[in-house]
Amino acid sequence: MATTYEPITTTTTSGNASSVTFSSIAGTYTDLVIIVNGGSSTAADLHIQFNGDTGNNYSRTILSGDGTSATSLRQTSVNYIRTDNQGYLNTTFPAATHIINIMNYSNTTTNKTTVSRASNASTGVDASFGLWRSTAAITSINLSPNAGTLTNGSTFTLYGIKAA
Amino acid sequence: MANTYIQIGSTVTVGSGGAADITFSSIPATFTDLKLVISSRSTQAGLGEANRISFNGDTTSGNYTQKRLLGVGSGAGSSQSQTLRESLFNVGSNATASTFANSEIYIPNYASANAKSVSIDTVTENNATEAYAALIAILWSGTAAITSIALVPETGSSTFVQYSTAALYGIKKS
Repeated sequence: MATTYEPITTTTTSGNASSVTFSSIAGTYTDLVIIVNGGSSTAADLHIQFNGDTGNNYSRTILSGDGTSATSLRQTSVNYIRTDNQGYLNTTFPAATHIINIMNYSNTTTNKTTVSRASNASTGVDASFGLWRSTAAITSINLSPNAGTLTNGSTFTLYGIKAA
Repeated sequence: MANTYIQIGSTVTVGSGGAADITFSSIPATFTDLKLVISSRSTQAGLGEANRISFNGDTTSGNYTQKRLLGVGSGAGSSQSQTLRESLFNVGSNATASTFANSEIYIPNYASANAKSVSIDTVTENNATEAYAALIAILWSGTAAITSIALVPETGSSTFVQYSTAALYGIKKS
C-alpha cells in the first residue's frame, strides 16, 4: 500500500529560537499536519503565517476552555492565525501540544483554511480555525510565540498527507 | 519512503462478555508520537460516561492534570481536575442503541524523558436532546517512556460493551 502520511521535516529548537520556519514545502501532498510539543520563556500564543505574508490577510475563530468557562473569540483582518488564546506555550515544558491541520494547501484556486487543537493541562484547551486570504500554494510556514522565545528542545514536525 | 504511520498490535474489539478496561501494553519506544482511536459504549446508565486514563499503571491522581472544554446538549462550559484522570467519553446505556462514542487521543513525544502532554477529542452522539463533546488536555507528570495505556470506565461497576473498539497507531517523524 502506498504511504499516504509522510514526515516532511522536523525541527527541535535550540539557542532560544524566536520562531520556526518550514520552507520549500513541495506541493505534492493534499493536506499538511503540524505537531508542536514545547514551551516558551513566557506565556505565549502560537502564531502562524504563510509564505512570508505579514499583511492583514488572516482571520480566526478560537473556542477556548480555561477550566472554568467556555469562550469564543472572532478576529478578522489580522496579520496571523493564532492557534490558541491562552498562552499555552509557557515555562512548563513541554506542557503545550498543538495539532494544526492545513487543508488543500497547494491549490491555487481557493483561500487556505486551518483547523487547530491546542492543549496545556495547566491552562486550558482551544480549538482554533483560521483563514488565509490567498490563493497561492503554501510553500512556507512560520510558527512563532507572540512573546518570549521557544524553550530549547521544543519539537515542530511537519507531515504531508496524500489523498492517493 | 518508509511507512511512518503504523498500527501497533491489533485492534481491540470487545467481545460479548464486555470488558472492564481497554489496555495497550508493551508499547515500543520506536515511534515519535502515539495516536489512539476509540469507538466505545459502556453499561453505565445515562447518555455518557467518562473514562479514566492511566499510563504505565500509574493511577496516582496527583500525577495527572486535566482541563476540558465541554459541550453538553445546547450548553458549553469548561472544567478541570487534578484527581479524576477523566479522559474520553463512552456512550451510556440509555443512548440510542448501537451508537458508540468516537474519540482520539494524541500523545506527542511519548517516549521522551519529559512529562507527557496529551490531547483528546471525544464525542458521544445519539438521537436525544443531550449529547457530549469535549476537547481535553491532560499532562501526565511521568518522565518514563509510555509503555502502556489503560482506559477504565469512571463508574466502578461499568464495563465496555461488545463491539467497542480501540486501535493504537505509532507515528514516526523520520
